[in-house]
Amino acid sequence: MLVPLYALRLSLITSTLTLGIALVLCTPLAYLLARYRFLGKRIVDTLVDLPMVLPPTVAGVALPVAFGRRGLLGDPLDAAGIRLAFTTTAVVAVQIFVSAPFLVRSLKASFEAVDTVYEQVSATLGVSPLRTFWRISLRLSRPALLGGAVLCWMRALSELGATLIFAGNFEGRTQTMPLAILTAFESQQGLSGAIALSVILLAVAGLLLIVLRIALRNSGMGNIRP
Amino acid sequence: MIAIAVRKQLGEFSLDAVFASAGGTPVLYGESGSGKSVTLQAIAGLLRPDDGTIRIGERTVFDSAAGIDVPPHHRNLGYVVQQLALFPHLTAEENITYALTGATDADRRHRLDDLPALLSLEGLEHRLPRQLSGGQQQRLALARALARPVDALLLDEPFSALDESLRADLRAEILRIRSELTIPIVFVTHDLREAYLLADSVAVIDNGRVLQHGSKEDVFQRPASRRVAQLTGVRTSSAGR
Repeated sequence: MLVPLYALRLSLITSTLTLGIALVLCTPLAYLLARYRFLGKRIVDTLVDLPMVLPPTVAGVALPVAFGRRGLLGDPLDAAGIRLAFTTTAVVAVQIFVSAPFLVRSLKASFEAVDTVYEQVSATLGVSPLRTFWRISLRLSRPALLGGAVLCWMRALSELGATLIFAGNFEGRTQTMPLAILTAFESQQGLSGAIALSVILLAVAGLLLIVLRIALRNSGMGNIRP
Repeated sequence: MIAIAVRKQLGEFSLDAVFASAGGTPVLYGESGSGKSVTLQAIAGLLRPDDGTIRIGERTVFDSAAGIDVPPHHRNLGYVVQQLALFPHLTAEENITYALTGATDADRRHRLDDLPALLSLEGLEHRLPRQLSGGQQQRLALARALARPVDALLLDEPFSALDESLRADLRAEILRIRSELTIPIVFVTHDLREAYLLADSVAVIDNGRVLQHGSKEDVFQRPASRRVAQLTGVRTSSAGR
């Protein structure tokens, strides 16, 4: 049986890219939600949760409605020369959509768990809010940050339904590992082919989890709270 | 010099704090919930008053009429909060040098040679806060607040978690710091004896209002009202001075 290495590679690249983009986007959002009151906060909060409760297929239908060529934002995107549907970019977009909420949730909870008194004291020591965020808030949230990152990355890696609908199932372009497993299952190889691929994905995911666990423990971040 | 006249509405509680101190150690004395800590937070810039003015030395850090509100990281104060809030992920040395981000290595070294000695923290530089005793944590919080040259030191019931013998040690420490530094030390306490032992001047706060402020002799011996007498008098005799 042919092992679709390109699918594994695409899965690893897109899920890691997703995690990177999600970290950059979600960290400020989570901090905003944890620390500040603003107009429409409840709406933002609910919108963040929405992708978690949606079946991925619904997300897969919703995304083309918004970003597809005939979608709500299709014309402006088209004018800018951006075509999302059925591209690798679409794979990443879908993964961000379904996995970023997990990161926002765990980050928000961990920012909330950091006593504001540390940030206040930091300010009275002459340290600017941005540096305080970097040296105190983010640092004290690191265990949850890593935990949330693992969740986010795992969710991106396992994404199937929405990808299938919005990005399609094209070898080398949008066929990630879960899609390759589905393809194998529907081919003549049937269950045996799907199992073989599943074992590969399981092994890779398990290995990465173990590496992360060890990294977490070695950073000694389990018990920094007083 | 510290001069403060601020008002702040916090739900049902209204703060109307007015007092001034020429220097030395002004003590804000009052029962818990009287508004002492809130006043200190306003001085530090962590709580924005509805209106009023706050002056530290020659500098106006808050003036609602003039639209001045210096953010806390530019107020140049040392502030030790009740729960200390030592940064749990940093060693004692890193806690002390935390405030010295812009400083040169030589400067930093210089402060590190001074402060642990001043506050008897030698040999503990590489411990984490949770590996220090209560008294050591207390001294570390003081060292951190004093790491850069500040215009005033604000202490919010800093000894409340300690037993009496440690409190006595640290009171002596504060008196020593006061004799070595020329900055005002604003001390918040609900402990009458502490107020008496440390104060140059006293402001008695009750239910958000400063009932009386003046020299400690004035306040303790000539209370301006029955409430002040009640807050200071009855317990002065039992404090055994």
